[in-house]
Amino acid sequence: MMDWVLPLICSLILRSGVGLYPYSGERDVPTYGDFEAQRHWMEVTRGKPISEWYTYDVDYWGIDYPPLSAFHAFVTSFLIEAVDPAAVALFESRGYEEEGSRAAMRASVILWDMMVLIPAVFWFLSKRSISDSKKLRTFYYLACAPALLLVDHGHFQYNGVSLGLFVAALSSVISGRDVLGSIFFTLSMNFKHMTLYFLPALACYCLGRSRTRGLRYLAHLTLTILGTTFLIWAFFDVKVVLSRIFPVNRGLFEDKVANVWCSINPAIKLRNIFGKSTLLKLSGACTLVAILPSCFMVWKYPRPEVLVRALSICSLACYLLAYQVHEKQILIPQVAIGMLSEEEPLLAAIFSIFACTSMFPLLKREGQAISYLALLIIHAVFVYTTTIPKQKGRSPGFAIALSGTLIFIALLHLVEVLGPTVPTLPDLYTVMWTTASCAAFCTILLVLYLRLFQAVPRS
Amino acid sequence: MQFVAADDMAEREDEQDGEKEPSNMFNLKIVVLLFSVSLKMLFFPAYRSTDFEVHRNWLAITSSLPLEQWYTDETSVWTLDYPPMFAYFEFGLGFIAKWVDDEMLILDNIPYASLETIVFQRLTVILFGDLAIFAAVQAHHASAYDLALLLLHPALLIVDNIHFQYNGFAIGALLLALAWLPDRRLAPLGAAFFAIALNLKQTLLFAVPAVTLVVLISAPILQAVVSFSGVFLGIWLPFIKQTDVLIKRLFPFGRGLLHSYWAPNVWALIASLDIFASALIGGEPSPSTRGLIGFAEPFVIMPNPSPLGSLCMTILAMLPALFYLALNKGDRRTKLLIAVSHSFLSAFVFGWHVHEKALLLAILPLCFVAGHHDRWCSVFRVLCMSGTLSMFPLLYEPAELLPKYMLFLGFAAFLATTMNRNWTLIESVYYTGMIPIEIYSTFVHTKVLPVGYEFVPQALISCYCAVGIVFAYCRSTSILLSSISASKSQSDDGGQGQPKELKRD
Repeated sequence: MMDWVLPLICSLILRSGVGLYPYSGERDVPTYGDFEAQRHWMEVTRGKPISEWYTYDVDYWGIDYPPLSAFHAFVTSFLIEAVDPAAVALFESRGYEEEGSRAAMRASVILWDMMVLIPAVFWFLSKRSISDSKKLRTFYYLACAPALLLVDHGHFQYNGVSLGLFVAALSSVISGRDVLGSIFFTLSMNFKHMTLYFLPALACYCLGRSRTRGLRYLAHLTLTILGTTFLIWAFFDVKVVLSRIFPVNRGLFEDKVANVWCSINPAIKLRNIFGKSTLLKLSGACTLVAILPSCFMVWKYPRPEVLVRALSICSLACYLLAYQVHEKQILIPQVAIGMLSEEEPLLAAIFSIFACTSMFPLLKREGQAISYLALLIIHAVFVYTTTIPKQKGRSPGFAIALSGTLIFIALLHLVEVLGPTVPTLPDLYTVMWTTASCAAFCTILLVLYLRLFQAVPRS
Repeated sequence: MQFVAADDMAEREDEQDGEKEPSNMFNLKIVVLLFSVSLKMLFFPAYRSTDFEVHRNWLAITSSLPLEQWYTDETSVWTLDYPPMFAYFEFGLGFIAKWVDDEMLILDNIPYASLETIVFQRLTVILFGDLAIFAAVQAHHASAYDLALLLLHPALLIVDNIHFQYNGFAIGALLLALAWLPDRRLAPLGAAFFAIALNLKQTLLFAVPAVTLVVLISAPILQAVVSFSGVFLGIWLPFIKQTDVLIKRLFPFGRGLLHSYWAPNVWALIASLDIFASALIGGEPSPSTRGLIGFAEPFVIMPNPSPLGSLCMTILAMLPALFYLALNKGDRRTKLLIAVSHSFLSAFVFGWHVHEKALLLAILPLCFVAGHHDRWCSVFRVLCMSGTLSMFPLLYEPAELLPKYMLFLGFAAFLATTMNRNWTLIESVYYTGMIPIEIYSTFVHTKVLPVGYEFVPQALISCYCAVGIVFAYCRSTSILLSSISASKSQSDDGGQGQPKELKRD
């Protein structure tokens, strides 16, 4: 156990260091960003009765996450209030960004990670019989992935909670406790609905398991999921909440995101050709086609190692093809691929890099370019020292591929720094980043599929 | 679940093979260096003390004024008061700074901190500090572990990379000199670097006795002296007519015994005793509680030392290190490091107007020693922990609380897992006691005693650290004395005594 104290504290050092950088919308009066959103939710949940949480002045950063997030904001508000009561005073506190409350907010993200994500990761590691150095690598990918640190501790969000609940769900599924797993997964979905990307694979896994374990098993699962959901949603008007968390009217994609729709946009302006409902159907159909083979495989071979592969494929395909994807949702496939880091060290290493570059335009805008660079160097150093010596005697492909990726990224940065600014194309370099990352993600998806079909018959 | 189980054994053998290769050690050092650089980059936006503006002003002075006016300019209150080599260093940086943001070189921009300026100045601290220390580690043929102790030391990180100073650079130059001085062939080079290091930071002067001694014992004296004085004179030559001006700037006499924030040394302990004693008697409160610098005689009841008295005590306290260096046979390079560290520690414990940052000078040379010589572990550990705790009040804004605690805990965990030797109960109790002291000073005090006692939190931390640092001084002295007596008896009975430096490994 002592061996884990140092990695744990290192992960906290990185978190606290990233937290020194500006958060989203820092001193950006009057629009602000996610930091203000999270703070505002604490203010609303603290100052208003539960029936008004989803209806109180929704135009100013109204809550648009499922109810567990609202409860989370309610709990966190007590911590913030203890440090600086003015930071969560109803209405008075809008745009409140004092030193003390800022530090408390940053600390609360770390605290929630300590309470949810990190215990879940240790639980997951305890379920895997691999050497300590390999566990360290998995720990790094799940708890210290650069993209996760940049979004949660830099940009400011609480994804760690929802991802932690997902890791906990998978740990229980791996140890055969599917009912417990379904509780954790329901909690995770009810914290941030973006973990829905995992649902198809998990559902097919359970359906596959029910072939041998019978209908009773399926009934248990369904009842648990429904029961948990009911407990969480009982206090709210379901219709209101649903319309808040699934804003279909916001279009195929909003900001620049490294998915297929945004990447083909410069060539084919789909949004001008089709209406919103057609696009919803189109993206839905494409997503379905992309995930179906992986779902079939996990239904056919319902084993944990197939499940993890199917989860990474399913979530990555959803990120690439689904409707209304945000750039930060890359964290979803990242956690699944992080779980695969032992089987696919190269994919995990490269994916983590592109997960950062896909958000680089956002990070740069928010003043996080330096922490982005620092974390990428640490990532490269970590991968080179912990993975490459182990590959001795095998082909040098790993080192070449990783170095190639890093050189490619460095070149793109050079192009952005030295390249001309084209007044007619203000988003030129943003599109460059998202398109390059999207191409990498598509390749990784194909390789993941290939490896799934290779791996399944062997095991 | 077992995804992979197959080639576990093979990989472990690989790891063991790898450790024997010297090229792997070099790679590991590069890894530590890169990690250190990128970790320190994370602290770019952290709080900066006025020292940031001080150094920015020096950049402006050296790049916009002729050399004769460097030490006479008083446009800003932050006048140049480092030795000439550091002024040349700033002058050199000015050429790059011009390309980054030429506004930072304008003398009348007081204060100035554009984003480019911050990145540039922070980056120079990281690059010059880390590279100097890396070079020193290479010159000492030291391990990646030693490098990690040096580069990732939380006290150095707090002072250099957050608070803002160039200690790593100056100490790196000193360590480089210390690596070469005991070597017969390289001694002239070492002497030249020692002259450079002295001219980067005048507080390094306390290393002079030990270095002189080692030159007298082992180096070709003439060459070393020629090289040293040649470089020294070369550095001072442009200022030869202004020597008195420079001396006045570098050594501002007339400051008080205590710095506004008491450095954790003997005087801090005596000052707190003085306050208690005068409170008991009911006399006047001691002026040192008001945080004023200019008091030559801060104590009401206790005897007040004179600057000369404090200097004599420092030299007296240094003597064991000099005898140890002179008498004991053995690895002279390690002994020089120990002697220099002890000299700085003596100056810290008994010196006049000491800054808390000066403890770095005593800690960093020991990084080469502590990992390999068990007897120095406890001295090193106590110095690191109390030294870092004593730097905490430098960063008082809420945003840096978490980073500084995490750095401290991380280093403590690193020491605990890698240097797990002779850890006594008293030591553990002392370290545990740091937690309530820090919690009280930072979070509780302002809520309990709001006005009139503002000096208490800092004084409390300072005294608590002083206990550890004075203990470390005593322990260091006792180790030195026992080595001296052992080597004496060894030479008396013809080499029958026990060899004292037990190497690990």
